[in-house]
Amino acid sequence: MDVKSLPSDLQEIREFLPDMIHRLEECIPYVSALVTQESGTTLRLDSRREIVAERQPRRGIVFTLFNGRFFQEWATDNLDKKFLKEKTDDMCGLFKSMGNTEPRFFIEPGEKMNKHFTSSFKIDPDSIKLTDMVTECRDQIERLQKMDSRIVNTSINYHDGKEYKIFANRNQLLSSSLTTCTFHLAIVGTQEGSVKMNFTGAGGVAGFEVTQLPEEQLQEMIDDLNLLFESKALTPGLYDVISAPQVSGILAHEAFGHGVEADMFVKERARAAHYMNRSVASSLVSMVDDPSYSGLNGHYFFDDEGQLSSPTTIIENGILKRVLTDLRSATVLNIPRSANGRRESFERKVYSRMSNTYFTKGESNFEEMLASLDDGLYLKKSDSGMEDPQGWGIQVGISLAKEVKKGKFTGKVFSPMTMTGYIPDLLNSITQVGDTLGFMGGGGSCGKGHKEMVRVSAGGPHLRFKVRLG
Amino acid sequence: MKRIITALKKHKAIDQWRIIHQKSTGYQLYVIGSMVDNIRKVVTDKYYVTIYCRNEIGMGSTHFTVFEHDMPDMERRLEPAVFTAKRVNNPYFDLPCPGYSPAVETFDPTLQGDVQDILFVQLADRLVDAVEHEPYVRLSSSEYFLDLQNIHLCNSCGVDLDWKQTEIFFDGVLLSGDPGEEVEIHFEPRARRLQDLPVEKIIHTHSEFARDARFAKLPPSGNIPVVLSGEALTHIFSPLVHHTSGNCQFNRTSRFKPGQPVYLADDPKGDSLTVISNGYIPFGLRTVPVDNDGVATGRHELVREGIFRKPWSTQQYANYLGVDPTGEIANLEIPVGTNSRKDLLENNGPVLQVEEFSALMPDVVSGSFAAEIKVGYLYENGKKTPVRSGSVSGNLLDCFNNAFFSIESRQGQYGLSLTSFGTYSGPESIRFEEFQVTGK
Repeated sequence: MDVKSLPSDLQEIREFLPDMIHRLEECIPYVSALVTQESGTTLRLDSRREIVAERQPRRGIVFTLFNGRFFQEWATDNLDKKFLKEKTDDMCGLFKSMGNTEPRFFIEPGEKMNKHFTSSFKIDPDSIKLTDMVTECRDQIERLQKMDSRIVNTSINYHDGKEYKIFANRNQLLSSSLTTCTFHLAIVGTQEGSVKMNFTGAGGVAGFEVTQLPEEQLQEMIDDLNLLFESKALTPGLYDVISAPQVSGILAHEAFGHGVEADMFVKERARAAHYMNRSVASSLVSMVDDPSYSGLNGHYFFDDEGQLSSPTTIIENGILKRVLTDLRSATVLNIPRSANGRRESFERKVYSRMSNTYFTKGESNFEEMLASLDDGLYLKKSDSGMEDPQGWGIQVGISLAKEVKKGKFTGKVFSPMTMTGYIPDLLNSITQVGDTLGFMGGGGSCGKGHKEMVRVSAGGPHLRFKVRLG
Repeated sequence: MKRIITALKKHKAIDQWRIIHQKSTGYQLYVIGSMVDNIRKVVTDKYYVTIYCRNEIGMGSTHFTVFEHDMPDMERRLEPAVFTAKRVNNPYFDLPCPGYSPAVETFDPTLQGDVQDILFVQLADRLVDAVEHEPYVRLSSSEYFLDLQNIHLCNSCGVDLDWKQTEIFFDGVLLSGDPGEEVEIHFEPRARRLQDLPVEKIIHTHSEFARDARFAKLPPSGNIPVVLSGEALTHIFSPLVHHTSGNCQFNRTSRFKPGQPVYLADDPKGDSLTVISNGYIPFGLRTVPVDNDGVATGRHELVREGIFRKPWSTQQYANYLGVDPTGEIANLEIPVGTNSRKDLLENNGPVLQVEEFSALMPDVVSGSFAAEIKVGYLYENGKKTPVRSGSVSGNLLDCFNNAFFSIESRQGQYGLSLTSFGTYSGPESIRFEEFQVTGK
């Protein structure tokens, strides 16, 4: 096993952790440790200002102690081995302070495993000279700025990073090195006192190659800015719509995905708990969460509790089949674990979280779908969404919609609007599922409520359904 | 700190610098129902270093983070940072020098005490007890966060200040209704001191929302007056904050020009808008003696009676624009109006009052927003009916053309983004005449 893609000090900690776990388990029934380190470069350049710096590094360790009822965690950004060894007694003291209670649950430490994983990329961001990177961005900004006289500012947000992770418990010693890269372009235009912005981008667990955006993608960003200036407010109502893959993705993630995070089941906050193995969508609909989907922004090899990544089929032909678990929720609910126990960083707790969540593709060709839409809207872009796991309400913001009449775009555009309603009504109204899968461009992140950000991706094919818009 | 300063002073290419040393101890408690799920302690100690180097264009800068283990290698850490800074092209500006720094209140000494007592007894137990006294609601889960921070800021011009700050935050979910049909109401108050978190009152208000939400209907569709109250106001000011920034003025992306009205309409109706950035509010979430550069906090009128007076501006953008720096945006103070909340809810036809949105995430550049109603009430013919779902949409820059502020005031939070908050001190309710409601 080659762990050379880990920095040398993390290689030493990797070697040292099993012994530390062993010592701690002399006084505590279950202990695990997670070391995370994230670092990289960030460039934020616009027409009038430049920021180039290292990404704020997040480096630390968290020890998880379990007494059979609840967890206690101790986290620090000090990775000095001597310091950590000295803390062994403190942690045993911490465990004793949890009280001597009858255990309710037992944690299964998993099969014996010692593995290291490294993500793939085409161009290593570290191989690109900073000066070349900055010059390239400046040229791109200057070129875009000239493409439309209404553009007053163009900005580029570039981030690359190396994410290192080590997980250890008494049976497992897992580590990974991930390379991430995201590239976002935004333009701000003004016209008759109004100011509008549009953006595009690419990114994921990938290399510098994501910065090579096709010319058509840039032109589309400018064209859509023009459409935003022409857009009108939509008359509220129930519409027959086709969603673009990116909008399908937000729907999968926000409207349904959060509601199948199993920690919500433990908290009795998930309506989905009453619908297991029942129909929640049209039989055309299947939905998956897959952290092993390489290249996408929600990719990882194992979760923050040592569960190896694999796809989880959440909805299969309209039937709710499985949910996304962290260790605690799977243990308490006595259901199979999925690799969805994730933390924002060592400073935060684990929750059940999504990774790459998407509706699987169907059999309808987009042109045919469009041709069959007599009177409706093509929902092209979404800018936000919010979960409602208990109420199964929908809030998905749409930033650009095009009117369709008799299978053709009329040229009328609407913005902004929001989809609202009841998610099973929407999912059951799906009558066509496109035959091509697409994902959100760029590196998205997701919060639990308004905090606990983790990197994710979402996507799907074109979907045709009915929804309330206003 | 001395070791970093010595290395910075020794390096000939570094023109200016600043260091923020942040030592934090955080305590976290997670409860499901009334059972403990997780207890956490997090200790961190970091130095955020920014260096500024002159170059042919003006000045470049970069920032990096230093941990204790980096100290022996400080000189080596500096080289790549200097290399980067020299390749960044920005106009020159001077860091602020020491001046008057006001004594502001940022630290609650009672939070230094017995942490177990604070988290378990003074927060979690109180919250669980308060829910038990409320009919037809139950607690799904709650989370409690207590952060104690020591901040030491110094820069190359001689600013050298340290202060302590505290923040306490809890996040909870109430459920109401029959199994499988339950509705949930979420709350996440935060404050710098314990006494500013009235747990029982928060639970009572949100329990009422949860009980009402069980019987809520869709609102009617149309252009009806909308009164935003309480937490529904949290995110409505972020486009205003964005457009009044020095950064936005410098980038030419602001809709506002100093000395000009902030309204698009020629004949604005309603109450005139005044917006103040106030860094003095005792225990305000964005109350600090100085901002990250070392600019002393203050109270600054950004908009007075509908006219954009001056941008809030960090030292950098103030220098570029040739104005006095105000420092980072502080807490938001909006003077109250003359109408009572009751008056604002009166109309010949229906009025929609929104207490909470599912999430209001406006486009700060255009001001556009559309958000689902989480807790609302429809007032019509003297009758108050709970409403939820459906949405409200409009423009948060244009809306002040025709807005009325309540005479009742409120101190709460305002959102700079979904995850960053300051203290809001202003009208408890604001009535807008030009929003679109989507419902039945």
